[in-house]
Amino acid sequence: MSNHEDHRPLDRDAAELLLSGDPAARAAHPWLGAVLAAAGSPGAGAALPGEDAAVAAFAAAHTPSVRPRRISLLKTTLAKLLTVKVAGACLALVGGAGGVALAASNGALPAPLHKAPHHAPASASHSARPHPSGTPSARPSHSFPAADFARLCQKWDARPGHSPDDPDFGDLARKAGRDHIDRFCGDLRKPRPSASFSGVPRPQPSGSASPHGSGQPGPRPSNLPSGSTRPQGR
Amino acid sequence: MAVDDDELVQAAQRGDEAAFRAVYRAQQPTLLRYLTVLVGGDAEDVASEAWLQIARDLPKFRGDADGFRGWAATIARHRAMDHLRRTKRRPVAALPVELVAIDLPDGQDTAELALETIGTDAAVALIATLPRDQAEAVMLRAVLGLDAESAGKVLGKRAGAVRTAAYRGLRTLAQRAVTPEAPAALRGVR
Repeated sequence: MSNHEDHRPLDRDAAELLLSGDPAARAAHPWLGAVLAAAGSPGAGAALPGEDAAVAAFAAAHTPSVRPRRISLLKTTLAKLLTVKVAGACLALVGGAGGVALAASNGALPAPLHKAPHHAPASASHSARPHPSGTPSARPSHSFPAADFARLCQKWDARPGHSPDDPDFGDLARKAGRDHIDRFCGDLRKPRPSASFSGVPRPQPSGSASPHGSGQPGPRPSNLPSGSTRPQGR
Repeated sequence: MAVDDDELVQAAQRGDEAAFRAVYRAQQPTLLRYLTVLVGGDAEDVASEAWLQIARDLPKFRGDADGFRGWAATIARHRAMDHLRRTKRRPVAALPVELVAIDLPDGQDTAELALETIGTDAAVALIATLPRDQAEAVMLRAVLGLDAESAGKVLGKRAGAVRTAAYRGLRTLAQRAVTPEAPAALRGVR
């Protein structure tokens, strides 16, 4: 055959260079260079079969749908409790009634917190609610601004014909207004064309504010009520 | 590795779906080729299983884009081994060269032609004709871009053993280059 260069014995150093893609080595061993280059050629960068399934698994793993809603409702409850009863809480603390407050929290207090996600009148509480980042908890990592609504919008866009009353889109409907979800999602898309593909991460509050820097979407909801709700007595 | 890739992996770890999609598109082609060497035509199914685990466990991953490639390859390999156990099949490596060879048209400079027309699938098929440890070493290093240490972690071997296996694999491939079958095989599979 005519491929004389490849008759040259391949030593270990040349093999290492070939494996690491060294252009000179691949030129010196054109046959092996061609095989390795072909085997290692980058993909087309286009959509691949299985991609949507993988992304769906990713979305399911990273955006549990109950979490944002529970957090917002917990915060609503917390905000009301704090604003209405902050004076009482202070009195209870100053008066050394911590034991009473704790007992109360173990008894009747959990009721409003746990019932809130199911029975809280959404219209009233959400209209009266301040912006998430302005709640007394003052923990920016708890707000789920662009990222989660972007995901919700993706789901919304991916399922034409769904109802805004679908519980999956409850947060979206409340945020955007029941009849304005399309416009809301359209607006949401505009300012961030394809930043993620260029490798620029989205500015997520949880990234900078998270105390552990873990990059997780945020603390669990159960972190919220502990401590801050206890002092208030009944 | 490029900083952009590191940032993509980090963004995906924070839950950025678009970043995850970009990581998938960058990684899936070479992962699929590696799995082809291990499980042949079942590579797509095994890759799907691997990506489910990657998607689920990504927040737990620690490292940069280089580390991610090795981590993803490890997961893919585990899923491939599970698959082989489940289906009670042997790995597909060490496929006889003749199986990928086809008739060679007369009067062509096959080597020249092959060099110009080697397709990715054909090259992977040729590498898959090596003994499995050699094929895996070549794929992990030349296709997935892992260094010998990282490839050794994927395979549970020392770096030196990976270097030796890859070296032997390349020597075998080089020998096949000068036989008429190999170029024909390459063109045929492609």
